[in-house]
Amino acid sequence: MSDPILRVEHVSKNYGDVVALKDVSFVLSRGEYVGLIGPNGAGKSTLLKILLGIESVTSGVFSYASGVSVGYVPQHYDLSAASVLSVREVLHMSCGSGVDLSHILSHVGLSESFLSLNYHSLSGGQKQRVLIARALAHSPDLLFFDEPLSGVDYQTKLQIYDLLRDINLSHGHTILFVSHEIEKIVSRSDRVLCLNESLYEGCHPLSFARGHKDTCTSVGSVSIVGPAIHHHEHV
Amino acid sequence: MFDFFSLQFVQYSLIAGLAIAIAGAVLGNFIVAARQSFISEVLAHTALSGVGLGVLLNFFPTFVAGIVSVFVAGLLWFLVRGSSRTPESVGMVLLTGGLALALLFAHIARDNSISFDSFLFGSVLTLSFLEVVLTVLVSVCVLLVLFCFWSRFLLVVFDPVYARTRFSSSVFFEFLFLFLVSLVVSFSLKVIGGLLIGALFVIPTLCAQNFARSFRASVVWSVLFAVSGVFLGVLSSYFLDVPASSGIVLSLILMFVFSSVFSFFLRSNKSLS
Repeated sequence: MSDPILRVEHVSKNYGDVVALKDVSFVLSRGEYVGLIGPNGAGKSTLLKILLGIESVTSGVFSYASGVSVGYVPQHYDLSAASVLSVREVLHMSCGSGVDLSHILSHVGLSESFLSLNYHSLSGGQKQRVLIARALAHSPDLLFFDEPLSGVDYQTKLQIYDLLRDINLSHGHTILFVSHEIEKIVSRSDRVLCLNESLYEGCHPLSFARGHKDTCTSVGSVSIVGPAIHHHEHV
Repeated sequence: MFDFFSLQFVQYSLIAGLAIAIAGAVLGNFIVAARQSFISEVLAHTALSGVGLGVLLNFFPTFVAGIVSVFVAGLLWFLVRGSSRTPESVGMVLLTGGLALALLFAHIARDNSISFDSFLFGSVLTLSFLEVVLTVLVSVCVLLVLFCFWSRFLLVVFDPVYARTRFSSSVFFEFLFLFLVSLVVSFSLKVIGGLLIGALFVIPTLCAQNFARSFRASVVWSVLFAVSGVFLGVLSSYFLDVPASSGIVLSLILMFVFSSVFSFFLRSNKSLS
């Protein structure tokens, strides 16, 4: 694996007695597009929050390559409270006034005329594109997406998945994409990480999603566990 | 009318009132859009306990109110951060606690010469020169800080989680925002009154949102509404002999009603055409 941008080593996270993450280790290389899948409650969002500095780890360490800046497109984020914000103001949240915002918008397939529109008046897909543009606005090396396309229609979803792959290939942004949509992620990713408290290796993502993990090996943990749905009871 | 403007107490009340109107309206846009309208009320009511203490100690109540208000802002921030408690519920504890303490201090100091009522309901026409200077100074400083870090405050107020992922200093800016609100609140006490402050923060923004399509436009509109409200309030106080605070709040509410009706017809016409 060449030129690591993020190294996660034996990260665990407990909330009281509840295990959210157990001994998770992986490395992201510069320019990779990596999918992160797992059932609800598997710890995907917790892992991202830890990597973004919103949550602390219980044990383990993670480190970014020096000088790496990180962008983030959140899950279920709705700026509905900000009904008066223009698209320009949403983008300015993330970068200084010297940035060419129309250029940033063009990356996500929106024209300059969107800058003066009210963010609240946009469609779901357009809002999501603006939030992706906001994450891109400060030229991050590494982008985290936390299931950002829930509530977006099927056609728009496909377009945005393709758009992100294009951004990854043409601009070299490293992407870690959390999603439930296994087929869409698998077909566009360089590799897929399967998470259910621990990370699993050697899984076929589809069989992992269906709970058939008997062929999977838990990375960094000695236990090989049964179907995902019963995982907590087995541990 | 010329005589009206040449009166010193009218000049004082207009200068201080307009300064607070501008600072309050600008902050109000952040507060309303972030759905935190209760914050100005919490800080105002708890600042009243500072006034009560100031009256009791016979020491510049606005200054003591400022200290208490900043302390409460910090306490609110600390109690809510990383907790499952909602800001409204914690705010309610602080609000009622503040009022209870204010009542207690005012009762103990009931024979004192400083009027507690003037901070409860405002007394813009009785401001001293020092109070006017300090009010203008605080308003200008608050506006300068806001404008210098405009984008940062926008991010911290509208999207605090994203802000924390983007800037390590976001937690500091979260507190700084509360600090600015508490400063303006404590210097608004004598202008409009602790029980009516929310109007000066919230109503101009609601009026502005009837027309504005961007945050910047909303800020400009809200300042115009707030300044008009204070001006009409002081004017009505002098010519109609009504309490200035009542005049200010009722003018603002009238403006809200008219701007809402006007905006409704404007939107109806647009959708018809």
